[in-house]
Amino acid sequence: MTHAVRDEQVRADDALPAFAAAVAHEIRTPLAAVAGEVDLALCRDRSAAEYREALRRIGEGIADLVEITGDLTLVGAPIEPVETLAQLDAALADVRERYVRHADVVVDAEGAAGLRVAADEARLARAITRVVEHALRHRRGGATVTLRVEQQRPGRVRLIVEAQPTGFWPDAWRSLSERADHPATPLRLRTARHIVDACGGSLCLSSNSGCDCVHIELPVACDV
Amino acid sequence: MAGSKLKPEYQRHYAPGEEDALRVLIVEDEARTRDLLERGLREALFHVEAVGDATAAESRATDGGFDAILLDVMLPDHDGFTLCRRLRTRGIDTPILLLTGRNALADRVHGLNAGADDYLAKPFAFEELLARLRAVMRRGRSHNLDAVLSIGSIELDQQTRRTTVAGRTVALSKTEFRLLEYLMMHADAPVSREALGLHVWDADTDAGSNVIDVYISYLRKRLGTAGAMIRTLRGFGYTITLDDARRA
Repeated sequence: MTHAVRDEQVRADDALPAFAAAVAHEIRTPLAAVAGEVDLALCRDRSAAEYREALRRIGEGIADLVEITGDLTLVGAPIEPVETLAQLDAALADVRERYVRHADVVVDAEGAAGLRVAADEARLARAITRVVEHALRHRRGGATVTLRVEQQRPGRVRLIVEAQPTGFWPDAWRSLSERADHPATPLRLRTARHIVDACGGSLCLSSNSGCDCVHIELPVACDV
Repeated sequence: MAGSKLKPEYQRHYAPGEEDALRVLIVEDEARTRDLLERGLREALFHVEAVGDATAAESRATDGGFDAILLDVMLPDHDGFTLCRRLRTRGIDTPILLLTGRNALADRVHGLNAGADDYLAKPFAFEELLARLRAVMRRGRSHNLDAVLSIGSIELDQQTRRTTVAGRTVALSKTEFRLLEYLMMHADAPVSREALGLHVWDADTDAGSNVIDVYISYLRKRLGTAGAMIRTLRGFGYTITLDDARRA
């Protein structure tokens, strides 16, 4: 075993407890909510409509858990370049559909029409969704989370996630976002980073006039 | 709750008239869990207010009026431990129940040292959550209710630090006050010299020295005839008891 391989193995071993603890926390929170829903539903006799509503909530909680296990599988696999092309506006339409009932999430797809990126459409939507969810968690008060598209230089497109008018909690947001590769980083950001890396893009945080934003920058496919 | 039949293990939590005025502040950033807690506590007839971050929580808790705070540890702006410490530093003594996914011993100790009254790990059973919430509120209320200790003609107010005998204020030094307070908290029970040394002075106080006897003597004089309620237990320590005073 070479020194480099051994050092890599030691680093991986050292990171495992922090990663396991972070994953345990990610799973325990939605699991606790599901268990709590079941517990609450059974604490007294209810009408059929109330039981239906409880089951709907339990189903949503289980769907969250399934998503988490999918994210875990993804971040545990090596990053492999994507060969397929996705329509950016189609991926953004998926994101908009997911948040159709959220008045506090605005998806502005203007500028995305006709752009294709090296990505699987569903996975790209998943990466964007994870960033939006992270933003929703770390926004101040009830600020609206906005997703918009910018083309700043040829061959690159930038998706910007920001919270207006009050922004994110700076310390929490920055410390988490700047350590996207740290084993204790929330699974949402790790998942987004993993997918964006596979697309040949980058995920970073920027601060503009005191407003923190998350940027997902992706290469645009050239038409042959 | 009309028309609903509660399962027996939940019935004791639903006592209209007892809990219907109790107000709980929920501090939880995860929307689904926050919604669940709100619904569950409302069904248990608590008045509930919910916020998703520490800054809003500090503001609402400072405004007051809550009987308990249900506090998540992982919050976006500050962690729950920090918020707990800040509230205690500001003199807010509302009972706090920490609710978190982190269940390591170090986290539990950290939370309690930060001023929390109890700690419950996720996932939790609603029945246990309600029981613990009731317990911390009961302790909080009893703390307030028991702020005035009394035995015979002596009354000692732990909040205002005022002592009266038959309604007349008696000036006590800090040590004399602590000594009387400790004896009255254990009224009718024997209190060892070691316990007095530890709780009224410090762990290094020599229980065999005469400092305790000297202060007992001071205290008896300050209390006048009521000082006879403090009885010496030879070779052991002291007790304060109404029966002994009557005999005396």
